[in-house]
Amino acid sequence: MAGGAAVGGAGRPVGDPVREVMAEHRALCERAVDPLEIAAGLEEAGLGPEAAARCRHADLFSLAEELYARVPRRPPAPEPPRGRERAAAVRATLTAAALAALPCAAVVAFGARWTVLLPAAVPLALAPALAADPAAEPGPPHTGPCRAADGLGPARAPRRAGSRWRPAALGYGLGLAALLLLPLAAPGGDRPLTAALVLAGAVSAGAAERAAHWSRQVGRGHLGAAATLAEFRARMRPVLPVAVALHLAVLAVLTFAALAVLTVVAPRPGPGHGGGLLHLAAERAGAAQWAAQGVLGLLLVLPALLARCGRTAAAAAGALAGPAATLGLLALGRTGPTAGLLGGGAVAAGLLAYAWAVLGRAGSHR
Amino acid sequence: MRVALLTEGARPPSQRGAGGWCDRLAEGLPEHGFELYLVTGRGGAERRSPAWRGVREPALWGRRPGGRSPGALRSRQYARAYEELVSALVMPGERAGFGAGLYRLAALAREDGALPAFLASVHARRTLERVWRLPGADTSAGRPLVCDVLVAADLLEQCLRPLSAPWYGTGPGGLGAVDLCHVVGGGLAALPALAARHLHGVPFVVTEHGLHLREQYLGYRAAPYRWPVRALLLAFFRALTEETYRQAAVLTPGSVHDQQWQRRCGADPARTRVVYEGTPAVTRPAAGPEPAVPTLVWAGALEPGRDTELMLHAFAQVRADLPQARLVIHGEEAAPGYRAHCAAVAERLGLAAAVDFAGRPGSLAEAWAGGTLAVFSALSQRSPRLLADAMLSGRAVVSTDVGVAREVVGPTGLLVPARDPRALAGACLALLRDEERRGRLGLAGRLRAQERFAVEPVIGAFREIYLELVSQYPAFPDGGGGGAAGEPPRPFARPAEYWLADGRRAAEAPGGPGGPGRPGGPDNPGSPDGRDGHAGRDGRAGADGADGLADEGGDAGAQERPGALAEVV
Repeated sequence: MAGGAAVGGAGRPVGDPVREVMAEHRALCERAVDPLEIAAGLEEAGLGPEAAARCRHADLFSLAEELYARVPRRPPAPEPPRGRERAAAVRATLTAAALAALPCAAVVAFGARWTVLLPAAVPLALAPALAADPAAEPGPPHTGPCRAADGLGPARAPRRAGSRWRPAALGYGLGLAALLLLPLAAPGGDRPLTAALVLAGAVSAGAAERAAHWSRQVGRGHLGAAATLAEFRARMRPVLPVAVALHLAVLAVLTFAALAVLTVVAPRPGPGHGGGLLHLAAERAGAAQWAAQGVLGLLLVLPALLARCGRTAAAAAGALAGPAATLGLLALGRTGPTAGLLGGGAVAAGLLAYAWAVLGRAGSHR
Repeated sequence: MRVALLTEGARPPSQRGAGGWCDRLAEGLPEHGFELYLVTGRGGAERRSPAWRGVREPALWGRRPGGRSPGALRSRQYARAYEELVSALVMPGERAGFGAGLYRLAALAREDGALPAFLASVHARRTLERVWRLPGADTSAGRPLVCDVLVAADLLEQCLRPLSAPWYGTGPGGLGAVDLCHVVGGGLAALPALAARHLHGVPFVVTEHGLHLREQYLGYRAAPYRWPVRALLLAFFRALTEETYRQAAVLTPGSVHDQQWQRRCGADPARTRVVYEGTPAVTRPAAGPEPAVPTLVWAGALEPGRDTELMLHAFAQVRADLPQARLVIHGEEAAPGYRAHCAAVAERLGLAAAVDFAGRPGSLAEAWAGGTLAVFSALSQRSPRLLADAMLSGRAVVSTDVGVAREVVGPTGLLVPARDPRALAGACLALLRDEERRGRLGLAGRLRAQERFAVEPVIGAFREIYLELVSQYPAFPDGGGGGAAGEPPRPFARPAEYWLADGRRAAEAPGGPGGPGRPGGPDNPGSPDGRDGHAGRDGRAGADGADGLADEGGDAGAQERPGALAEVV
C-alpha cells in the first residue's frame, strides 16, 4: 500500500500530504481538546501507520500532534437557546389551576362533608406531581460508547428517566389540599365569602405554577450566560421578588373578581349600601381577610417555586406547615382569619427567607 | 493469595457476568481467593460465578449517597487537595500534581468519608471555578460559564466516588488486606487500586481489552457537554490513565495495537505484557461444509465506522464476475437510519436480491457456517473479538488492514487497504475461485486463533504474573513484614537449602511476613516469600513448600516448579 501511495504521489504532485488529512478531518481537529483525541479520531476514520508514513511521521500520534498544532481550536457554535417551552408552561398552568379549582368548587357545591372532602383532596394531592416535569435522574457520567460485547450491535445501558411520583411531591400535594380545603371545612364564619376567597386562591394555583416556571426559565437562562457563581447570584436577585409580586397581583385580581361575583350573586344581607359594584366588592372582605388571602398566596407560590428548583421536600414541609400552624392556633382558641394570618404568616415568612437563599444558588436551577 | 478484582460495571452484563472474562479467570485460578469489586455498580441481581469469595458494589451513579459534610477545617483541607487536582487538569504546567492531589483526597476520604459531600458543596464549586478561571488555564477555546462549573463539579464528584468507598483499610474486606489488585478495564476502576497502592502499598495489575481512554475520547465527541467540560473531563481521564500506567506493576493490554496506545500514555514497555483475550469459542468445532452458493458473510454493528457500504460496493464488483454470489449481513443497527441507507445503496447497485440483511444471528458460529468467506470491511478494528471468532470457524477471512486486523489475522487471511472496494472485491474473488487456498487459509486461521485466543494461556499468564508480582513486593510497608524493629525485609537472605533442612524449625522466625491477621501455616517460612505459601489454603503442605522454594529460585523457578523441587531435593 505504501508503494501504491508513493506511485500515486509521483503521478500527481501534492504539496503537503498533511494538508489533505487536515482538510478531510478539519472538524475533528478543531473540536479536539487533545492530540490524543485527534489520534483516536483518525484511527476511527481508517487511517493507520501507512497514512502516517505518507505524511512523513513515525506514527499516528505524531501526525495527530502536528494536526493539533496546525489547526486552531474552534469550539462549536453555541447551540441556539432552547425554545421557550410555552406549550409545556401553559399545560402546567392549566393543569394546576384545574386540579386545584375543580375540587374546591365541588366542595363548595356539595357542602363540606367528609364524603366530599376526601375525594376532593385526591386530585389536589396529585396536582403538583402531575403539573411538574418528571425530575431527571442524574445519569452516569458519559463514559464512552457502550458497545455490545460481541461487536454485533447496540447494547446500550438504559437511561432511567426519573419518576414524577416522588413521596415529596405527594407530600406537597397533601399540603396543598390541606391549605385549600381547611378553610372550607372549618365551621363558622361567612361561608359564601370563604368559598369565594378559596376559589380565587385555587385558581391562582395555576398562576403560582406559571411564576415558578418563569423563575426556573430565567434561572436556566442565566446559568448559561453568567460567567461566575457570584455574577449568577447577582442576576438572580430580582427574580424571587418579581415572581412573588406577579403571583400576588394575579391573586388580588382573581380575589377581586370572585368578590364581585359574590356581591352580585349573594349581596350582603342588611341595609342597602352605597357605592357601585366595585366598591361593594372591595368592601365585602375586611382587611384581615385580604391579609389572610395574601398569606394563602405566599403559601401557594413559595412551595411551587421551591419544588421547581428541586427542593420538593422543603416545598412539602412548607405547604404542610402552613395549615398545621393554622390548626394549632385554631386549637388554641383563635378565630379563623387570625389563626390563618398568624400561623400561615409565620410559615410564609420562614419559607420566603429560605427561598431567597435557595434561589440564588446556581445548583438549584438545573 | 488474595486478589481483589476491580472492574467497572459500565459494560454490559454479558461481558462481566457469568461466563465473562473475570469469571473465567477466577474459575481458572481456584488456588487464589478472588474478591470482586464492581466500581460502577448498578446493584442488579445478576448470576454470579461461585468463584467469587465476595462481591462489593457501591452505588456509584445516580444520586449522591447521603453523608455528613466535612467541618470548616476539614473542608479547607479537602479544598486544598481538590485545588491541586483541578489545577493539574487545567494548568498546562502543573500536570505533575495530579497524583499528589488525588492521593491527598483519597487519604482525606478514607479518614472521614465526607468526600462526596464536599465535592457537591458550594465550596468545591467555588474552588473549581476559581482555578478554572485563573489566567493561564487551558481554556483557549471557550471560557467556562456557571453551567459548566456545575456540570463539571457533578461529573468529577461521580468520577471520584470510588475514593470514598468503604474499601480501604487492612481489615477483612479491605483492599489493604489483599495481596494484589487486578484492575480489569482500566478507567475509574483503577482509582481504588491507585489509592490502595498509595495507602497500603498493594501492587496492581491492569488488564485492558479496548482502551478505556480511547473509548472516552471517542465517546465524548458525542457527549452533550460544552467544550470546557469536555476538555476538563478528558484531561481527568488522561491524567488518571497516565498515573495508572505509571503506578501499575504490570500492564496487560489485549493487543499490540493497544500496547502502542499505552506506551504513548507513558506505560513502561518493560512492565507490559500482551495477553490476548481468551475466548471459550476455541473449543467450538469448525464450521461444517460450505454452502452450495458462494456466500460472503459480513458481521458487525451497522454503522458508518464498520463501513457496510464498502462491503456492498465490493460485492457489486464480485457479483459482476460471479453472478450467483450472495452476501449475508449480520448485525444490528447502531447508527439510526444506517440500515435503510445500506439497503438503498444495495438497491441502487442492483444487489437487492442478492444481499440479505439477516439481523442478529442466533449464534456467531451459525453466522460463519452460513458463508464461504468471512469479510470485514471496517474502517477501524479496535477489538480482536469478532475477527478471532470468525477465524475460529475455519472459514477464510478477508479484512481491511486496520487496527488489530494485521496482528490477529496475520498471514492466515487476506488484508486489503481500507476504503478500497476494488481491492476488497479482488481478494474476495481470489478466495471464492480457489477452494484449495480457501481451505488452507481457513485451517491456518483456525489454528492461529486457537493458539492465541485460548483460555488456558490467559490463566497461565496471570498465574505467572501474580506470582512474579508478589515476589517483587515481598511485604507491604504497613503490612508488618519488616519485623519488630521495622527493618526492611530481605528476600534472599538464606539459601534454598536452609528451608528444606531442619534448621529453620530451630531458628526463630524473624518476624512473620504475613502481617497481622494472617495466620501462618505450620511450615510457613519466615521469609517474605512465605506469603506464597498461602496460595494453597486448602492445607496442601507439600505444595506450599514447593511454592516457597520455587520462588526462592527466582522467576525461572516459578515456571518449572516441580523441576526445581526435584533438583534441590
